[in-house]
Amino acid sequence: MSAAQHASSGDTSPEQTIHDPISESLAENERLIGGYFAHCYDIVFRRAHIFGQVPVLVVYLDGLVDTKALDAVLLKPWMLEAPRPGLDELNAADLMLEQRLVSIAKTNTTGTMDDVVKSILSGNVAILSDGSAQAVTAELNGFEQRAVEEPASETTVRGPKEGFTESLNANTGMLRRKLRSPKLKMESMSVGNLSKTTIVIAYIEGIVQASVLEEVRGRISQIKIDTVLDGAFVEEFIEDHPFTFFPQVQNTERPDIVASCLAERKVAVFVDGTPFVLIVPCTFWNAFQSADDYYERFLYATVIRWLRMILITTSLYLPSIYVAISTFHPQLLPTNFLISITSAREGVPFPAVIEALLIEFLFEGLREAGLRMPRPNGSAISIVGALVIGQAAVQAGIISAPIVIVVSLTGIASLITPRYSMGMAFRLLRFPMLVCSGMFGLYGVTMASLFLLIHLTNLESFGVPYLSPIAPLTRSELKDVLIRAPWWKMHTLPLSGSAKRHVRIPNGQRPGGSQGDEAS
Amino acid sequence: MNRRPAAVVAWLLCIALTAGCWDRTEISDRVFDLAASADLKENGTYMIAGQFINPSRMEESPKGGSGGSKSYFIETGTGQSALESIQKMRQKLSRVITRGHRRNYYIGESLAKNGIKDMLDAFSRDPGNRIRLDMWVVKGGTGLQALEVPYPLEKIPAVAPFKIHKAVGGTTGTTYLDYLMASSAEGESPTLPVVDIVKGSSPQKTIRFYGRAIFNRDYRLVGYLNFVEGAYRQWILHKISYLDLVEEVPGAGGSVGVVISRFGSKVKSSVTPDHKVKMRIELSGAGQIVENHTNLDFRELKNLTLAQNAVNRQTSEHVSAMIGKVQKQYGTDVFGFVQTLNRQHPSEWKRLKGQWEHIFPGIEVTVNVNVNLKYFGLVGPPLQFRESEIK
Repeated sequence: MSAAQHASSGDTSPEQTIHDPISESLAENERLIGGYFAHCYDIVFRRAHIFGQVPVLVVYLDGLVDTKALDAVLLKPWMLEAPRPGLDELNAADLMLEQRLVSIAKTNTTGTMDDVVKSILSGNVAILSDGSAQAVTAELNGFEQRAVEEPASETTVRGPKEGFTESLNANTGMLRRKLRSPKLKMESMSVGNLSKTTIVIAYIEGIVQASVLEEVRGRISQIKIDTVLDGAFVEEFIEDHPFTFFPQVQNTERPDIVASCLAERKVAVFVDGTPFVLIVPCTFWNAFQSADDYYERFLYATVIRWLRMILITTSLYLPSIYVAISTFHPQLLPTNFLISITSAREGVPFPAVIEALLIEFLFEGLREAGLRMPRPNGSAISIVGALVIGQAAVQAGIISAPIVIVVSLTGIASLITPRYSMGMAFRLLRFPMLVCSGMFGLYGVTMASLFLLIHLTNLESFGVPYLSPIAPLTRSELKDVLIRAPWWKMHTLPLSGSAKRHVRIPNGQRPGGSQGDEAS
Repeated sequence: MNRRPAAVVAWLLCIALTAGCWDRTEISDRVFDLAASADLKENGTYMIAGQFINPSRMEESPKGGSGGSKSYFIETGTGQSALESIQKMRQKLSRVITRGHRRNYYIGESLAKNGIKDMLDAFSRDPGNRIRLDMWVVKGGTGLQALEVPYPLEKIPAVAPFKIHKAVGGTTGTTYLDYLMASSAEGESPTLPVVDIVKGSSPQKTIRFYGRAIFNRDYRLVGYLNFVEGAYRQWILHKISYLDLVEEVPGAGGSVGVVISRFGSKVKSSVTPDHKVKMRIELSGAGQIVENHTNLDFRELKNLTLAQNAVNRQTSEHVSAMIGKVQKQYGTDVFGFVQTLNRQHPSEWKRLKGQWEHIFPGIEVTVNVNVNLKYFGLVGPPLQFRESEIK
């Protein structure tokens, strides 16, 4: 009873450990555990006798345990089979129990009630036997989980199509399949007073930047929170600069991205219960890199990378430049273009900047509605959006046609980034940019860009400057930033800094004849 | 610490919204003039006119513009000076005049003859005027008349002379700048292109590219070069991209027409021991025969050489005649000879400085045109000729 009170009082207070020892009496144990799990309908106590002789108590949480397996592997043999020879001394030798009677791969023996409760909570089966102060916990997870699917937020045309799921084990397994080396280390820790979420820090020993790894360990171990439901909870605690639109932690659903990042000296953080894995450090140029870049021909990938850069810049600047040029500097337009714009804007009631803000606002609203609404409403939103904004507003002369074109172009461009969270930064920043351009024209746009640049150079992700390797410039690392160099050219690892160079791809592997590589 | 970001945002908002320092002008509060004109009236006052875009009419014109709904309108203002005239014109306009797109500026003949010095100052002082502008002299008319000519091909007629200029192989967008540069250079005289108003094929009047107007050192119009003469001058100055020549071939019973491309020009100056200045002009180009009124078969190399020599000789004579006309009649250096001498003989130039107006008419100029007739196509003699007629 005291234990139950203990558990119910102050439920979010940090770390309450249960100090009760395991009793030798089964009835006492059942009473204790029943006390911890009072008012939990899903707790199951199953009394049984092994081979009709030794009474044991099997405790688990319904819904977390594979009951079919439990029946087949434990209960059936115990109840239906005759005792095998050599098992006469069955009086609760735990070692015997664990080694010879529980045919389950992952088992553990524990002596404290605290461990028993914890392992029951994480989906294990606890087996207590009469006359023993030890309990055996066996992993028999059987809860419902999603199958491995193609990642919805990062699709590629070529390359692996598997994505992480909500199950931590499955996720780390997927990573291990890509990096079959004992050097791939995965350290587990638990965060969250209520959720007790398992977090795994993955890195490759000998390659990882030790300082970054230390920093990640330190920052995660300091987190004090009740629940961790996604990587974002962790991200907000470990990032360097909270007051910025730019994410300093990369998140991905793809095992191949995690594997390549680990090989590039980064650290990955798996969080149980979410398909998104965090990767640090992360730089600005990440916004322009997609997994497909490495699965297509490098020349094509370079061109596409430039296309992305141009369009993402467009998404930031196009509305402001339109407003600045049309209201402050009309002489910059070609004459015929100006004539079209003037005639389209004739009779429109709002100033260009208000018009642009209005339509951008509407577009963002449409986008958000499209994202949040229940699926069947989709067609309604698109019809109303396209008709009302695209057609009726222009025909009624409330807004001008050019701004609709500008905003739709911007909208498409803002969705082109392969990293959704990076794209959000640019999407949001175009509003202040628009206000600046409405007030000061191109001068305002220039000033705002300078402020943005200053802000970006001040950012840092786990000790790595946000704009590196462009600022500060590291020539050898440019091979994967503005262009995508062919693999046989990427000799050294990025983030190497100046001190030591990690060679990952030896020279002289360029195919096609004897022209050779430099230094080969 | 908690209150600071909010305070900064509020402060910025106050500055942005209440200080009223938004100096934007909406596009619908501007009126764009694509062409303007300046004239001198008989009573000695200036008259400035502008051709403005009418944006609401621009929209309707694709549906088939009925009479009266022109996509432009013309407004004028009269005053003692250019500025005052513009002020008078502004009194009639509901929007701010924006000159960033003005490409053409017509100057009436009477104003040009009277000198455009005063007008130019007001013109170059205003930062709203673009420097890439073509100024035109309207031969035998006023600038306003030129503005009023409706040109059938272009929505805004002001675009027409600019495009004609380009189509006939001239350099557009630089005449205003060239004018300023030439008139500020020692010894040189400025020129401007010329349009005149003629009857088109229909009873409507239309605008024609006439040639080049020559100004003297006092910014007064002294005379004209016609289209071909002007083109020869452009050739010397290396500012031409297209020229047709039709020259008689002696002894072949007709003329050949040649289209020239790949223009080249070299001017060599020399000073004789008795301080006479000599200029030697080498003009080159590649020619394509597009018209053959002779009985020559150009598949024979000698015939081609014959035609080439004839074309070169006669063109040289024409160019010499044009230069002679400028030297004798106007006495204005519009060929950049003064620059050539300055560059090639700086020491001599120092001695001759200041006397160029007297030296220029007496310069001995030799012209040597060297057009290489390269292409004549697959047709040798005229196809309709009988075998016996072909030489």
